[in-house]
Amino acid sequence: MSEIETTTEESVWFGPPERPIYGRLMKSTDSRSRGGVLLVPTIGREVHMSRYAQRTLSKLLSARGFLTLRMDFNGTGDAGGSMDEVDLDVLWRENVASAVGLLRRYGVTDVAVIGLRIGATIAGVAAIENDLRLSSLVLWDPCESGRRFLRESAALEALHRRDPRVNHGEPYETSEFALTHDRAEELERLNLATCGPGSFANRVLVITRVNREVSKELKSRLSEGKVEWATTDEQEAMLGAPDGERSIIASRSLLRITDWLTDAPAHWSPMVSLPTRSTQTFHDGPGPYEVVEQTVEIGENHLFGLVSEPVGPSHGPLVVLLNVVNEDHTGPS
Amino acid sequence: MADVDSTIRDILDTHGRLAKPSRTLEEDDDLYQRGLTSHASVNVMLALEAAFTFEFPDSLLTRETFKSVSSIKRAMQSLGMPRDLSD
Repeated sequence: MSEIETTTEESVWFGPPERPIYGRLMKSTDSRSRGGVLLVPTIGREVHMSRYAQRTLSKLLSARGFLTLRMDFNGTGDAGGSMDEVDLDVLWRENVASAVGLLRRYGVTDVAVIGLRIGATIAGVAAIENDLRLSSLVLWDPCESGRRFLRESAALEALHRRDPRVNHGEPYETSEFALTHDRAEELERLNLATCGPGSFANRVLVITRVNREVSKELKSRLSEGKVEWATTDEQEAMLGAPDGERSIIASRSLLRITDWLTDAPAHWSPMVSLPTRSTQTFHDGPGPYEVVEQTVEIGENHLFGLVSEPVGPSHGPLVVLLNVVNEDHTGPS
Repeated sequence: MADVDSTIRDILDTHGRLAKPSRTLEEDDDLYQRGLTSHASVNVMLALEAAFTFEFPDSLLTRETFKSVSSIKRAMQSLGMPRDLSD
């Protein structure tokens, strides 16, 4: 039996109903789990480029008995809220804490978190500031700080352009996302090197790029506790594939992470059955109307879809939004 | 001081993923034509900032800045970094 056939996947909304977080939960068909793993994404274009890798990693881990959860931050993907929420850094840390809490409610003893890029920054800071008590933490190509992520993104954006137009002191506005000055400042507060004292987790794996500097400050902060370092040369091919070309799924990194998490002693526990929030009402979409969203599977190939409907009577026609090439259809909309 | 040129070229070799060693290139050779990608440019930028302890301002985050060894030097020189660049 292949790994894929031993896993099931479902959509969940969790967190506060007025500002729901969206996730994809994947579990093995076994009634037990050896632990929960939360995959914390990056933001912007990198999300699209890494989505398939994240899903593949989820499958690999669930095939080895982990309950895995991929999530969209508030204001991104299919989660509620917007990227203009006040104290965005705090909110996204709380998103991570909510997701860890959801995994624990399924009865798992150990929870690990894998954070990619700024997702690693948010997850690492949340581990300390939100007291997540993680068994394991993977910092996958981490940005030392939110400020560093924004500078890298701005530089990359400018370097892609033949005719750069960088506006000094104005909001970060790229082809990926727009952040107001205040929100950018809030994200800049996130800093792995200077966040509070203590261990990020019982054990930490840091995967960095072979050709990118890691600051002395971050190395020093990550010298505490049980920390393992590894390098990868796959990040640029995964995150930086030129438009129109396929990004790779960073298979060596995925296997490295999977093996490292599996190396830890397993504490198998029975899975708790929880009611799933598979529909969600949104109040924060454009206009004054409430919208209900639910996930659907279409046809024998189980194509994934999201149906958005008004809370009251609906008036046709049905509008089908098809994604193209590497574009995602994200909502709520 | 020759060390500045040398440090820039070391950084290009380590972080730039050029098709051939930077010391075989002239100061004005186009680094993009020698294999420097946008992502590698960001790596070079970060390494330069770490090596010389400064930050490129937004106005210098352009393709032109990282186009050649000489353009990198000019950009740093415009920031007064380091003083002996004109040597």
